[in-house]
Amino acid sequence: MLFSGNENEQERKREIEKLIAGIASGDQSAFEALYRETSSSVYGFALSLLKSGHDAEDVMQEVYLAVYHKAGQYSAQGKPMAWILTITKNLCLMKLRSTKGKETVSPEELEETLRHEGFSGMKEDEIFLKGAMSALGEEERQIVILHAVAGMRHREIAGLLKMPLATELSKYRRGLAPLHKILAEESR
Amino acid sequence: MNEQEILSRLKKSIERNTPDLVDSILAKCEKENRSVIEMSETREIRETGQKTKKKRGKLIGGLAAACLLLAVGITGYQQLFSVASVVGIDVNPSIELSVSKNLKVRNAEALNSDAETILSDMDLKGVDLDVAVNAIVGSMVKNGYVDEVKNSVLVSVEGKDSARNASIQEQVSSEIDAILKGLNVSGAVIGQTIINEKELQKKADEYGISVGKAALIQKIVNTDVSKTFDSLAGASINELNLLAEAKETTGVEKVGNVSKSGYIGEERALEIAFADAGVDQSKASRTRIHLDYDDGLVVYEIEFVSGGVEYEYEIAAADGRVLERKREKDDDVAASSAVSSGNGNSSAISEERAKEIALDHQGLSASQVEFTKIKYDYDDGRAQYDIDFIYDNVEYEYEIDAETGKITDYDRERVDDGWFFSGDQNNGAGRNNDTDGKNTASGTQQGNSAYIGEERAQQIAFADAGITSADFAEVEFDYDDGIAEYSVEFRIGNLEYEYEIDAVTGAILKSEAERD
Repeated sequence: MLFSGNENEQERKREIEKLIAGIASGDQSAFEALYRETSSSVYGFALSLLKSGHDAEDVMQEVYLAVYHKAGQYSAQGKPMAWILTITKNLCLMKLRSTKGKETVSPEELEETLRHEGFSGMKEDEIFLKGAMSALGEEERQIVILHAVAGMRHREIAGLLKMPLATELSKYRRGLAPLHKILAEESR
Repeated sequence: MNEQEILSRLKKSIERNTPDLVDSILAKCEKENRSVIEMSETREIRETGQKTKKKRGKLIGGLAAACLLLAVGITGYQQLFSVASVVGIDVNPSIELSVSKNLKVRNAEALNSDAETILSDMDLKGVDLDVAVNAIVGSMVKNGYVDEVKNSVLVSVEGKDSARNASIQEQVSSEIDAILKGLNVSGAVIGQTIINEKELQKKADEYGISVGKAALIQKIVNTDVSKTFDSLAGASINELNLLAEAKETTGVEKVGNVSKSGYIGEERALEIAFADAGVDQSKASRTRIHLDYDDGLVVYEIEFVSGGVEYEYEIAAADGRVLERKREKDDDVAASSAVSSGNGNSSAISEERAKEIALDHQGLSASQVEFTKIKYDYDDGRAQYDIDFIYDNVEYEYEIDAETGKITDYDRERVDDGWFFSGDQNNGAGRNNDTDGKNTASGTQQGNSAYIGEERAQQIAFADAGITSADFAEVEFDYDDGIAEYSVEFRIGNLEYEYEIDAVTGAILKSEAERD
């Protein structure tokens, strides 16, 4: 039992690499499967960087187009999620740069934007996600989401975000507290 | 609320919000591919590699932006009319209904030929889900796929929204239960929602079954590690339902009781086993019975102890045939009464004859040995006896084909603690303490004069097998359970031998011969 989590993780990585290879050889069903397997991680990560459901969705399109076209260039090293999320990060940064003028917004404006940003799911999820997006600092947001949704280990997240492991861990801890508060209030 | 709960809540919120863009991206990629190929082909004539790549990149970017607009436009339309959930209905006919957000059937797919019979003259497109379920289940009963004997229906719902899946599953399950009651059939509906459909789809394709059935099998395999996916792939939904109940499989919702009327019942199975063993049921102890599925059959597994002997039976649940019987000296009972003989069975070779064959092979008679295990096993369509006995501190294990009487495998092993008294005390103590493994042993002690050496080990093994040379032979020094030994493997014709020779005393610890 001790190693089962680890094995599953390895198994999943191999599985994703197989799908990437499938995409490279033109297999559409592999692309679909990859999308199903990874889209919530990509979406969550993009959301944590962009704080907007619309922007995250836009970036997601670009991410998967890039994956589709670059699959042949991916060399299997057992880190397929890191590859996909690095693409996501770069495209998000590009997006942020292109919309930089709008970056300095007041809290009221931000609230206004968030209210109109499209979340397609249930009401309670929408409220929770919005709350989480605004309550957490940028890096904390990214770390918590990568850990929760993409199932990445802290060591891997530290690598992806280029920060020391200890920093990553303390930011992770700091990110959990406000979420705890939001959920506690919600259940009241 | 703990850390795990926070993480899983966050995960679920994001998963439920993740847009499904796969079709629009694919459509775009396809379009792109076409134009990119055409344009780059013409350009490559004029330009060199590096430049081509650059321009092509730009081109894709431009097209992507154009397509992006298009895709966003379509999404709203798609959300209302595209497939939001897939509802699987399995009896033996396996049918999958793709359902839109407002619970209209978009498509009904027959996954096997029985399902084609059911769906043959139905047009379910655009029909409400409950109406479609009604038509399908009604037709299944009419065509004799669901009745009092095989009354299980499996309902599986897959889709992105897990809360929605659960509510659809519940709705459809109670709908089916009501329909069956209306037709005077007491059905047993098993409901499940499917999460990891990609993995399951692969299994389903591999075995030619529905994703729903694959999910149910996987759940049973998860609760009972002795089962393999492969061994259950051929089982019917009713059999799987029975097994899920026996194994207390989790992750499925049940409405109604699975029918056992096609089977002899536990009471009758016990009667058969006790009669076969010649044991008075009231005098047996530790009697246990449970239902299982083995080699494509529903079986009763029965265990009991009587007179210092442990009995194990496997009885076919459909017709009461004895598929396996096993008698073994009960370790928990101090009195060492020998394993007694039971009744004969339908195989060509009787149990008595099988015992004789094994004894003859060693030139022994029944009075010299103590039988420790006699097992009759009907497995993979072949019947065989496993017969174990002890003679002069060595345990012999035989496998004998119950139809031909041929010895298919035999093995002998020194009954433990034998080595403890052999050799001098230093060696004994040393070996007993060293549990370090084979590396140190073979590395530092291989040349140790305390050991007989590889050559001598091979000679001993060859002599025992009555040969002077072999087609192939290999000797390896090994440390097994704290005993230094040589493992000698060799081959003559289609016979493979395996010996374990005590590295200190040269005693044969184990010998095995097997025909390829």
